Amino acid sequence: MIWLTWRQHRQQALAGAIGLGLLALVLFVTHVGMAGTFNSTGLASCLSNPGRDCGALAETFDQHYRGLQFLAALFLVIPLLVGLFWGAPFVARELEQGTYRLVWTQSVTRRRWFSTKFAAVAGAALLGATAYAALVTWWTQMFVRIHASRFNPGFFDIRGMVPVAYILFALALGVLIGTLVRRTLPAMGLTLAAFVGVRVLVNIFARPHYMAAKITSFPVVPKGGGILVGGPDLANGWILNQVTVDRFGHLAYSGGGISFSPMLTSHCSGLIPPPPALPTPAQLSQCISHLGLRTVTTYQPAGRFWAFQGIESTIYVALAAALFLTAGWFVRRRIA
Amino acid sequence: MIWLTWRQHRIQALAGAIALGVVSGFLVITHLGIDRFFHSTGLAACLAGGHRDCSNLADTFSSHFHNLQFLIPLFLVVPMLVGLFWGAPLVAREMEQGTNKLVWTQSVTRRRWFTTKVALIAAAGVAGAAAFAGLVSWWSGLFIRVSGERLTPGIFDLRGIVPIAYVLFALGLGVLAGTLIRKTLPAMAVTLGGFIAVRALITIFLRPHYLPSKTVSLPMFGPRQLGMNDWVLHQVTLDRAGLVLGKGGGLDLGALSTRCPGLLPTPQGFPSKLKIVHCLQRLGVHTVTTYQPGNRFWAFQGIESAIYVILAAGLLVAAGWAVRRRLA
Repeated sequence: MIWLTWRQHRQQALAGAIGLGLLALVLFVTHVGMAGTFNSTGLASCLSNPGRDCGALAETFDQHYRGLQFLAALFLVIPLLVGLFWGAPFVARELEQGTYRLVWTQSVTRRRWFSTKFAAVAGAALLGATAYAALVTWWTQMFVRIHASRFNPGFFDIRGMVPVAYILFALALGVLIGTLVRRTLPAMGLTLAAFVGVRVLVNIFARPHYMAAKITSFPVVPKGGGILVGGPDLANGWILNQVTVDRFGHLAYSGGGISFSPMLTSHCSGLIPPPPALPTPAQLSQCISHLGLRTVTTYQPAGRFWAFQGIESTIYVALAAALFLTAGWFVRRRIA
Repeated sequence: MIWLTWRQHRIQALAGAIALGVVSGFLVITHLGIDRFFHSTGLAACLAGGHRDCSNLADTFSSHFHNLQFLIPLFLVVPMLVGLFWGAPLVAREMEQGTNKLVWTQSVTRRRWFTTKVALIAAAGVAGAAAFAGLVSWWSGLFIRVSGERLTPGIFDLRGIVPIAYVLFALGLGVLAGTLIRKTLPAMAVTLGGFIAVRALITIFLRPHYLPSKTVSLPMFGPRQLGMNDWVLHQVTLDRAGLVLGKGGGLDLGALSTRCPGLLPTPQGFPSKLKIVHCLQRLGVHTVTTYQPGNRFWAFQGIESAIYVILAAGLLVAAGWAVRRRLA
């Protein structure tokens, strides 16, 4: 059985290994340059002092590596590819090409056939996924440190252990859809849609509520010409919602920072001069203190990062297990 | 032939139409929020004012929509999906399932069979791609007005007319790969690899040289003389004598500290701004920037599109030749 699995899937395994190798190469090469800039510009030592304003240095770094950072989102797609190219053809190709007639009439039971194949493919995927997740986590570290954004949707999804869970989920999803649809190409299309659908729904509706969110409130502080937003313990946290209220708790505008909403302009006459001009900092701070503006933030604190990673991974691994069992049941009872 | 093509590809066409519909629904809904925020914060009024510093409002805007902006690169994948799901199976599935034996022995010549199928699917692809590109250009318009990155790789690739050319190219690549490999799944994998490789190579090695770049030398801390949408290709920091102090436009404190002692940040403290400015003036530090001006956007779009359309035509002609001469 193991030999059969290897013969059937060696091309896919080879393609996966080549893909991983090329990716690792690209990440290593680009990381050398990034780490050089990161250390030599003094950004590294600036960031290692908490409470220091490294804005100018960070912005230089940011602009220099904008293109690379932009590509980070493409890592969201990798688990999907495993589902498409390893998962969907897993049973569907046997059914489509009729090879199941031979293989299911041998002395090996369907149960053993299915579980051995799946265990081997999932094992390979797990190995590759772990290497991949570790690589991406290591490579994106500098971006995450600069932006304090490791908890934000996006970076959260490509770092730590969740990518491994996504890959297992994508694989099982592809296998089940392939078993039900029985044709490779439609199975791949459906796997794509289902994966995107589940990921989006869980991200938007489930993840913010894994643990009860905290609420904090701090005054809007005009700082020089700029506006200081964010309290200290929000750094690295995940901001779910931000509104700005006046001293009586009435909503001034949604979002933090400063915003020239009708509420502001109606209470501070002369705040907004005719279009091209903007209020002076003095005018602004006068208006802010007159209204007693405060920013109220609902957020998940930074310390919950690993708890959230654990919960999200558990959900996807459980989903993967359920999908796998369903597919196994269909293979044994329903098909042919 | 047209009826046959429709029957064979209606599921793919339907899937493509549904996907386009879902994406446009998402874009239209999110755009409402973005647009409201853009106007209610006063950012629109500020940017309309010309040479103002709107960075405070722009920062608020960017951080508010940080998550949406993170998703933008995913649109880069869409043309490839057309190549995978429409292009690769076009010939490969016929060969794999043996239906070519029936269809190629009818009164319709292989040449006509191939050109009709490819023409119809390419036309559908172009129509879908045009709608997609128009939507994404419209949706990302506000982000671009705030950040001024029209020419930046990644964003340039999503807007204007190039997405249409990428779709055609992906389609051509998929068709040729399917014709040569004759099996759908490997053809899809090869299309994926080939598409990424060609796109990466052209973006990195060709695009910066479509037109001769310009070079400008600017003092540190001077007024920003580069336009909003300029694409910076290369930047170095030099002293008065032309000695390189660091790559990139920013300050390299490590390199500076050898010339101005006491500038290196220590765990205890960071050098004062006055000290840095003094050092920069003494050394005559300035940056030299090589860039492509932002107003070349449409010229670059035209050149890039032409390249990909020509590649697509070449791939399709090669696939047509292989269908007529080489196969079964």
